[in-house]
Amino acid sequence: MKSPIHILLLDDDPMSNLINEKIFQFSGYDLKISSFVDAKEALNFLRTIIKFEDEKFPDIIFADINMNGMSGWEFIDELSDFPEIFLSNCTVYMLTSSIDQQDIKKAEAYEIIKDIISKPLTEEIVVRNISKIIFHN
Amino acid sequence: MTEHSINDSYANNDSGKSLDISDDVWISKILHKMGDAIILSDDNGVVLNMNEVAENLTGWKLEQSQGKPIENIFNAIHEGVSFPVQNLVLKASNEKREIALPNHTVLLKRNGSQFIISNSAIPILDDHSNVSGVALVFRDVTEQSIIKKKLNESEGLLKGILENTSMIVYIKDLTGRYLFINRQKEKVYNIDASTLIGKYSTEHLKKETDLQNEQTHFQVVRENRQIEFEQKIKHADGSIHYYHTSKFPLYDEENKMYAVCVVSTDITESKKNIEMKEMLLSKEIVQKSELRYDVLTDNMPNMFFSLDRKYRHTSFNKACEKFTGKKAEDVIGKTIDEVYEDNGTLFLPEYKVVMKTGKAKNFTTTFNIGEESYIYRVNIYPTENGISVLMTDLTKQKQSEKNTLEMVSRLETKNKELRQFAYAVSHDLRAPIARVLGLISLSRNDPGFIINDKTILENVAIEIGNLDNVVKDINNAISIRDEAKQKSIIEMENELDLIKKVLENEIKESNAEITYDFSEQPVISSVKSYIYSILYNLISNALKYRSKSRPLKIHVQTKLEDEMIILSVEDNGLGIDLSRNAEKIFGLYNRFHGKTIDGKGIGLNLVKVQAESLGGKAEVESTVNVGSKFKIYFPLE
Repeated sequence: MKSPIHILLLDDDPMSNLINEKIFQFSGYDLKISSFVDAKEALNFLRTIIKFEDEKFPDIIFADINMNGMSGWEFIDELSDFPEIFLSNCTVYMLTSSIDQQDIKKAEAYEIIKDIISKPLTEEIVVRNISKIIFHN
Repeated sequence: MTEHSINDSYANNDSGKSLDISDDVWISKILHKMGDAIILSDDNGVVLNMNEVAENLTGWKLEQSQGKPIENIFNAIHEGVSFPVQNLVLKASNEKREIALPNHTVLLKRNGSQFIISNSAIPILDDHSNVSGVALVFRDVTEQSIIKKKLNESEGLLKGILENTSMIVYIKDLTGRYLFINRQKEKVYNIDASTLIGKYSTEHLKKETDLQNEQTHFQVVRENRQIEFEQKIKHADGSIHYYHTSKFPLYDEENKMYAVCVVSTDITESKKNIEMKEMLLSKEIVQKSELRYDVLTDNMPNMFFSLDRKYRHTSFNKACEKFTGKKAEDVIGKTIDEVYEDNGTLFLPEYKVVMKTGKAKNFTTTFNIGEESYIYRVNIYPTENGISVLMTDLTKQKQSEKNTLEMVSRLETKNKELRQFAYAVSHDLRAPIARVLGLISLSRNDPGFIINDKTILENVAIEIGNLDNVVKDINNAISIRDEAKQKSIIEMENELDLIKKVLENEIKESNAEITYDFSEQPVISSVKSYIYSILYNLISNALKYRSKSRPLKIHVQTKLEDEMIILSVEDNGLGIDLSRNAEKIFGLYNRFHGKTIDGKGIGLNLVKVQAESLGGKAEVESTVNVGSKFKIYFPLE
């Protein structure tokens, strides 16, 4: 049996996380969702996976750009330092309430970021992107 | 012409002397053919015969003269005295030799005309060497005499000129031997003309010294023309003089060059004069330009003064007088130490360097006199006598530059703030909208979906409420930013009451206790809308960030400290971790307690902006889980 697709949600607004979680659930795919409101916690979670390999490293990460404490960009910086073997199968999307030209430019600079998506995540977006990934894998 | 026969006359003569006929005829012929005048007399001076020329000159005819004494017809004067011609004849006869008439003997013709005559009395000897007679032979040399006289005169004049002139004059033949040397040349070269005539100039000059003379001499000879040039001649006394020399050829009667004449004029003095004139003229020009220069330097706004090598002032312009308060006349001649107490030696090291190296120095400097600070551009130039210093006041310029920079900096900050504001606004607006959209999207799948213990619709209502708050805040922020600041008297108690009414619901909901103490400063003179907005935002903040574990207490107070009014709003709410967020608190993007509480980024930023625009500042003290104290400062007036 194929392992479920592991999705990491990172947004400091719990409501957003909830909405997104529900959208994924409704998509019908076999998914495992880990959601965090704090980037540091998310990173620690990932480090644990790398260390103990008790879980699958996330296939997709959705990270909000504007967060209190550690920002989305800072999170990505840290993420980029992770071993390549884990990152190679990971697709990252940045989420933002308002799309800023500067954010787009910044995102382009990071190889690991696939795209910036304007909130809210809709079912349609979710389905489109996940299927891409599934077929890619 | 009738032929006289001497024989005839002699035939009647009893003197016992006889002449040969053939001799007589021959003599007679010669006599009459001769151009000179002849009077034949016997040895006693009695006229025997005379020729036509004699007749013409004396004015006596032969017939009248024959047999008469010679002095009757030969009337001569010598040196104003009657000349005894008979003596001359007798002398010739006795001494049996030719005796010449003295020079400048004047013969008086019978009709009064005068002739200068020359020549002599010649005795005629017979075969036995006895004197048979005397022939007086004479000639009219009047013209010749005059010419000779004139010549002598002019020769004398010329000689006078040549010998007395200050010009050097000498003549050399074509080969270069001296023909004539005048007295001036003798003097200048300390030579004796008589020893050098016929000799070359190398007799008295070294070949090297004479080289130019030799070259120019032969140039005249070669080119057969006059040449002129200037030369330096060292006199025998050692002094050097400047001469203008002219060398030109002399021609004989056949127009052939036979000599070179040299005339040299001493132009040393006139050369000196010209040099002096030129020097005076250039001095005059310099003086004129110095005058213009003085006018310029005296009146320009820059300070300009000059020092000599001993650091004494040699010039001091009006701007200097104005700045230092000292008059030029009191300063000129005094050293910088004497004039200034301690500031004069301010640039002494730089003055020294320029004096020493002769290289100008330029620099910009700031210095203080008393409490005043000045910025000047200083230029120090070396001059003939010392240095000149030019000082240009940059203070105002620098000040306005500074002001401009400050303004630019402020504008840049404002611009940045505005951009941040715009970004924050759009973000804060979109966040609740995004959530609403997300919720609606979920509701399509399951309308009865429960999230956060509320239905989707209830959640949407909350989000719209949040959105509304954000819009209200933005409205406040924009309108207050734009409003003209008009000061009025504000009663703090009244403002607080107003705010308590507006936030009635929130206060009730949170069960907050709001206390105040405006005793120190019950009334403020400031911009009402700002004070209202600040108070509203701070209280609203306190209400929002209250702790769930204890009842909210808010205390508002005004204090007066160091001419500043301090408005403080203190709460016992959640507090802020200042160690991490100190700078960001009043920034536009501040939400430390998660996104469930929206839009306060704008609020606190607005508080800061308003406080600062009133000339004050915003501060916060806080401890996590204990509470926060916001302090807003305004100037008293």
